[in-house]
Amino acid sequence: MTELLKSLRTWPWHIVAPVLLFVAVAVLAPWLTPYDPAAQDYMSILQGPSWAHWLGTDYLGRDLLSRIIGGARVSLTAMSIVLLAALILGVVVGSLAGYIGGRFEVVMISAIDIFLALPSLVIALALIGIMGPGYWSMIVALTLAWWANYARMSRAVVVAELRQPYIEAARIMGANHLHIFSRHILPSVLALVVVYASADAGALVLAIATLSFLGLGVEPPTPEWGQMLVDGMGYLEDNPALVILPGLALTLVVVSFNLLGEAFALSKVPRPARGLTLSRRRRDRAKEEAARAQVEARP
Amino acid sequence: MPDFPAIQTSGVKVHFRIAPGRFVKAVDGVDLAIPAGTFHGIVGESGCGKTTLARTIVGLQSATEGEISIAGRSLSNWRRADRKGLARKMQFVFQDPLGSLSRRQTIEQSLEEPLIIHGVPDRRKRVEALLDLVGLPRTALGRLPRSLSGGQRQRVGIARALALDPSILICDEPLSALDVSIRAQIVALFADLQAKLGLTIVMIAHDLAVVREICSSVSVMYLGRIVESGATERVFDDAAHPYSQALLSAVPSPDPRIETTRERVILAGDPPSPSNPPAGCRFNTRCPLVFERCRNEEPVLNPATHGGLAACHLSQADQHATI
Amino acid sequence: MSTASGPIYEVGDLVIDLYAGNVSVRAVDGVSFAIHPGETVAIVGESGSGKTVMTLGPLGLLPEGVTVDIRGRAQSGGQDLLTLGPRRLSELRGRSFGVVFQDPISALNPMKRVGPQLAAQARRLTGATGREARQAALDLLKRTGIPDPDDRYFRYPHEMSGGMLQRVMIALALAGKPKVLIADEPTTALDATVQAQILELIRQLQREDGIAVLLITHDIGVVSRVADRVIVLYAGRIAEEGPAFEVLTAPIHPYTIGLLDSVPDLRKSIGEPRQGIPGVPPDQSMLVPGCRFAERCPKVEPRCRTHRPPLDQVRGRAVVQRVACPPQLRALREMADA
Repeated sequence: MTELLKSLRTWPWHIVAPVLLFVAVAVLAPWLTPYDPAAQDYMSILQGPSWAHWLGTDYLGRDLLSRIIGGARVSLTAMSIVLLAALILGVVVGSLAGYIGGRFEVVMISAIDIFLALPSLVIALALIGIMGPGYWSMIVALTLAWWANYARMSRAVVVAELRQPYIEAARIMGANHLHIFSRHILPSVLALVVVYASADAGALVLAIATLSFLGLGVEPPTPEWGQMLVDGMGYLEDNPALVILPGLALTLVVVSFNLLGEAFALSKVPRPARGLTLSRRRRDRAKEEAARAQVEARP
Repeated sequence: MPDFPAIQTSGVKVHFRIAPGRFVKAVDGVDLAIPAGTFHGIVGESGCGKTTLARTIVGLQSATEGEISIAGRSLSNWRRADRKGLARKMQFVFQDPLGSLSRRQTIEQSLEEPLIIHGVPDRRKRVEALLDLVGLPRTALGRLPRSLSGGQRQRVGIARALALDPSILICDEPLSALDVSIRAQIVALFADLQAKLGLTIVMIAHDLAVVREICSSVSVMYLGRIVESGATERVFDDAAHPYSQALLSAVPSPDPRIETTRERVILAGDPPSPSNPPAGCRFNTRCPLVFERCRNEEPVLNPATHGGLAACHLSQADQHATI
Repeated sequence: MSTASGPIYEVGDLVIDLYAGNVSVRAVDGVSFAIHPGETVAIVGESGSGKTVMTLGPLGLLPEGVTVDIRGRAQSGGQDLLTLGPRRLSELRGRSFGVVFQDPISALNPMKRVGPQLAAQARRLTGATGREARQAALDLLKRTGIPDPDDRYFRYPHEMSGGMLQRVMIALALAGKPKVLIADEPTTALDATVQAQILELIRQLQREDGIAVLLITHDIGVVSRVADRVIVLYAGRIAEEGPAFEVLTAPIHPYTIGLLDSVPDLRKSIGEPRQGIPGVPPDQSMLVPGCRFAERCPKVEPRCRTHRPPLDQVRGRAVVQRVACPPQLRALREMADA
């Protein structure tokens, strides 16, 4: 944990900030929205931007700004539930497979591979077909479509970790499986998988929007970006902002999460110092050298 | 002193299957008896099975055949009936000090771990005593292994191995990852600990000079077998097995006055693969003194002139020869 | 050894800074040395002493992932290596310098048979035709003591043992008929008995060709066996330099004394256990005034902490021995006067 805090200072804040902004908006949505996102107002339908409605209104007179902010909250909630559930399922199955090994591992790997081979949306669509559309069906479907990735990753980490001498050291100390698993294996797995999961969030937001767009996810009148896109399509000529703005919100969120993922992946690879950092370091070095020369020049 | 050795192995074999019907015979019939309180070195080149032997003794690797007993009780019995008791009896020091410590645990957490597992009370006090024992400052407690130097990490590894107050320490090349000047510090630490705590230490090593410096007895391994063993000084001064002689001769002396004048034996070729050891004496393909009998009959360990044992047809005390 | 002619490779006031991630390291801090045809110079130092960076840095052979700043001079055959572009440098490297790495398997292409790799190198560096290059490759395999070269020519690297691969590496380094053979810990990964073979091979090749050998090592035994001259590095600076015999039998710099004291000798009986050098090497990310060894030095004086010790010639010895320790040199002078 202290390690994480220390690395905070060196985080690429320009990449983290947009993601944090999205999370903040979603969490604070009830206080940020000027109107109830579901409140209809037939006196002001399909209006353009005004002081009353900064981004205008839709065909039911609902405030677009409120709906976009509300949509952020819905997306974040659904995404968090799915991520958490998929993480728990994936980490438990994957770590156990890697730790127990043998036939159990073979069976589990096969299951994971089957889930990985199918596109996650296909799995989700099939499950929703069975369970019927709805918010919770979507959550379950996406969880089942998502967990395999984390299971595969967890298993890989466990297998690599088990070869480490420090695990053998714990074994020689007389540690039992529970001790080794909870004290050494699980922390290593979580450290990696949670990071990757946070970068996966963008794809998940998109998947939620897709299902809602297809009418299989979040149901009206709950504000949701994918669903807002469908609603707005009919009024593209009257008020294109109804399509453009939810689409833009979605794109920005997905891109920020993906950039975060890229940054995480790149931070694992050592890179030479470059550009501004390099010139700053060179300057510091030259200063140090001058200071040293001054001390050494004294008689 | 108890009348049974601290560690005894009889006919221990460890074979790894690499393909159907093909085995790497890493350890292929090792008999050892290490009396309590000795500092025993095991030397040999890579692939001779010395590390596998050490791992088998502590139970990280199971033996394909043969029996190992620790303090007079068989290892399998220990592991079945009293795994924690075995951990308090015998501990292991790893070659790679960084890998043997969890990278996300502070030094304090690493040193506490065995104490937690065994429910030892008053942990902080014990941890501090361990730091003093291996010569580490208190400030090391809050640090991560990565921020320590190689020598300090190995001190932590040794402290952790000693946390449960074991009487036997098995060390797998504990010095090979360290720099020369640091190596000497750790050698001194081992010597000091052995004297202070009366430990039985088995040290796998490839640096023969270090073995001569701290080990009271030594075994030389070649292709999964022990070819010679005895008191270190006597074996090194008067090696009976041609392989031991060549191994000793291969080590250059840091003193050019000795190095430029001494006679050298340079062996031809590389050690054969342990998956297919030669028939007869395993050393016959490289031995400068090979004769017919060596190709047909495998020599067994017999008393040698230096008072130890050697497995060479030429070395039986009466017909001792050197090359 | 003949040192009558000028140096074949000469480095002057070399400073190398490495920048990677969020660390800056002064790996080499003002080092000058020269190597003459036919001599074997050992560069001795512990990890982090800069021995590899100092030797391979001017040749442009440093690991990826770091930014390297080099200042100073590195001259060979009338050219300054530091002013050459990557292409010219690579050309010069193959023809004037042969490099043998610690780990031969990573230096060879695992997908290609060793003979053709060797022939390709010979063709690239000497402009030989295919047939000539093949013959050259076979000759090299023979010269480096590889038994049954006609068969080994068609083997893949993974089919050969560590000792054989190191011989192939040496053959590869010799393919361009270099004037300097740089060997970076050539025997560290090898077993004792095989190490002895490889050292013997390097010596024999040198006697035959009269090439200069620059041997990077941390093993004092290796130095004692093959080196004519030795350069002792500590934290990126030369602590002591001179003929191997003098430096190893009568070291002057406190670091050299401590280092040699740390090395046990298999052929001497046991005395008291050695204590090594107390402390650890300094942090090289900061530039501080004074001697880098001051923190661990038993002979430290106040001036050592503020002034860089110059690398001065030892007076009163028949050979050229240089030591960067004014207090020790002063003590020697006083002893001679008395």
